Amino acid sequence: MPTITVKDLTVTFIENKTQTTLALNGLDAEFLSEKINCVIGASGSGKTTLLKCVAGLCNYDGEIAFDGASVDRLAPKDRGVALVSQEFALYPHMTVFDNIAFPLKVAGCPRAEIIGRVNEIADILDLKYCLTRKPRHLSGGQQQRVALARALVKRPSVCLFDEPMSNLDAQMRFNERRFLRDSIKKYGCTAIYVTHDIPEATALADKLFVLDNGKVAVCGAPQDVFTSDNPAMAALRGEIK
Amino acid sequence: MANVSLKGVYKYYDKNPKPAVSDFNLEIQDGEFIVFVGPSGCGKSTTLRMVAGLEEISEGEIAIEGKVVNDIEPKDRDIAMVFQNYALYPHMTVYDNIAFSLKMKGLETPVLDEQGNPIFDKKGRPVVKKRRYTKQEIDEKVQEAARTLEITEYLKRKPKALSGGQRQRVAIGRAIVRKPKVFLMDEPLSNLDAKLRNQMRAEIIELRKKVQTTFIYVTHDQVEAMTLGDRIVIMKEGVIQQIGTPTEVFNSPANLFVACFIGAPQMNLFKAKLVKTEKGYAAMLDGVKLELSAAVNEKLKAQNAEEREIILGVRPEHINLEKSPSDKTLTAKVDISEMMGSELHVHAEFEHAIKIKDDNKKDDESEKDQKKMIVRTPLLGLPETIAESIRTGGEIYFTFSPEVMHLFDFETGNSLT
Repeated sequence: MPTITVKDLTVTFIENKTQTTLALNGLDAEFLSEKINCVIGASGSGKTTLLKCVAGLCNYDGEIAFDGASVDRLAPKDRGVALVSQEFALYPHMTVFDNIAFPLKVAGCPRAEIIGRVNEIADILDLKYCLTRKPRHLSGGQQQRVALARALVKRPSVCLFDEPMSNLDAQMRFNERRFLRDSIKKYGCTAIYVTHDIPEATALADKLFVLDNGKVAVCGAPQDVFTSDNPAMAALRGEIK
Repeated sequence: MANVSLKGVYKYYDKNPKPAVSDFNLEIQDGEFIVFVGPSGCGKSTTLRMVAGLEEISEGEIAIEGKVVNDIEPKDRDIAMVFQNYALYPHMTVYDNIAFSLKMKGLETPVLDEQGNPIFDKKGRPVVKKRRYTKQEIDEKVQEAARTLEITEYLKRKPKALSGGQRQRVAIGRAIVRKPKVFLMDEPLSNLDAKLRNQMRAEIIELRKKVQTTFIYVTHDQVEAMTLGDRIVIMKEGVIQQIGTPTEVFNSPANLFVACFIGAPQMNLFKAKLVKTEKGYAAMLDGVKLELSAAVNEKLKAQNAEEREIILGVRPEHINLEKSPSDKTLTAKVDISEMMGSELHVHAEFEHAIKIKDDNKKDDESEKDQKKMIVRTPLLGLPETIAESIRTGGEIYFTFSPEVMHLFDFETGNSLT
């Protein structure tokens, strides 16, 4: 699975005729292959824009490469990327099984393979007992896992997370983190995980990035980044007190 | 401002013999902030809607300012309600949305005789003169509400041009402009994202300081309940489990449900045995005798408690890690640990740890969670020997002091202390 290299990434949003906003300002980063790369930062620091660029959902200047091969000209569907966001976006009229199987059906997978793959991911994410239920009969944590299962069932090489747990209550989050870690490990995809919750980021991350004004302010092992005296990190630490 | 009293309130829905709310008794003081909290389907919103008059009361009595309101129309109860989905008029500007209730309601003033006493009609009701608010009066009140909520600059916009948090502020503005006696809020922050939710929570605390009104607030979020409420009413399946201040429900939960509902990560539960000793009582856990505090001993003596199986509850932050084993320490095996910024959450396996049943899971699924416990410990100053065994998945040795132990009946789950 790929190491993702981002070079000199710049994104400018046009607000109106006279005003523009620089969302990313020459960002450089290297995301570790088959690991969880967490990105934190104050709101407006460019976290979500970075994810959109990697997914190909937004126009950018600069270069994004998976294992050295540029993906800049590839459409989102050809990048092998899956996205899980804070709205679970499940189909309410479909069962859990059909929700998870949906991307495989669209891709034209044979029936036997669909059943095999859905059962495998349901087993990892502890969803086997609710495969026949509809999303409205599930708890928030379970719905979130269905969204994760639907993203991973295609076996994407890169999985992007945009604050996937911010709608879950505090007691649920540990379990969900455990499932997330287990499934990323099993499928070996490269994960970029955006959050504004610092404890969650330090708990999950193999490598932690702090964004400030559209650039990486500091990155490295979570323990080192959390205790670093970089002003952007210090400001974030102030927020959690 | 007004006090609100609920006496023996029941709510039955057609065809369902089980009440959605049963025997609800609560006295809310003038100017108090009360939070109803519980999992979905516990009857908290139903109770609030009965106070508002949006649901009929099946049995019992609800009184606002001493006056029974069971048969009074919602509009005549002098209450205001804020909903989760804001319910703003999309075609009106923020200003018109806030002014709407003033335009509709008008102003009632009692008619006075020459001596300045109110005049009553034949049925003994005070005679009132009704008139519309003048444009200037409406403007003053709207501007004042907008200043309180800091939305003056958005008054000319329509709701679709506002963010979720701003919309919710407009909804609150529409409620406070009428200066109601009681303010009812039904999960007002649930539609906002986590960051806005934190910000709006702080704003509600501020608002509460500015408008001295009685608040009844419904939420399923324990953090909101703990930070906002003067008192919290914890409900489950239509029944009140405990009423108390945030500190009371955290420190002295009435039963296992409250103990596990409040606090994150959840309280650890252990299967233990209550035994009699020379001094009074002690708890036996994994062969270690745990002394109980003097206060707990007194209470158990007063109940003349028998030796039996009990459930012992200890919050993750109250567990002390020890460097080496002794006859007073318990031993668990580290499963994984998570670095949560400045503290560490250690998840460990312990033979006598149990979990109460999760209704959402089948029995065999709940089984997997058994024998698991969590320890919360600060990272700073953690001895190297302990840090090492946590890193390598080794054994940890732990104790807890008598003051932090909660004792529950094994069968009923009620607190023994």
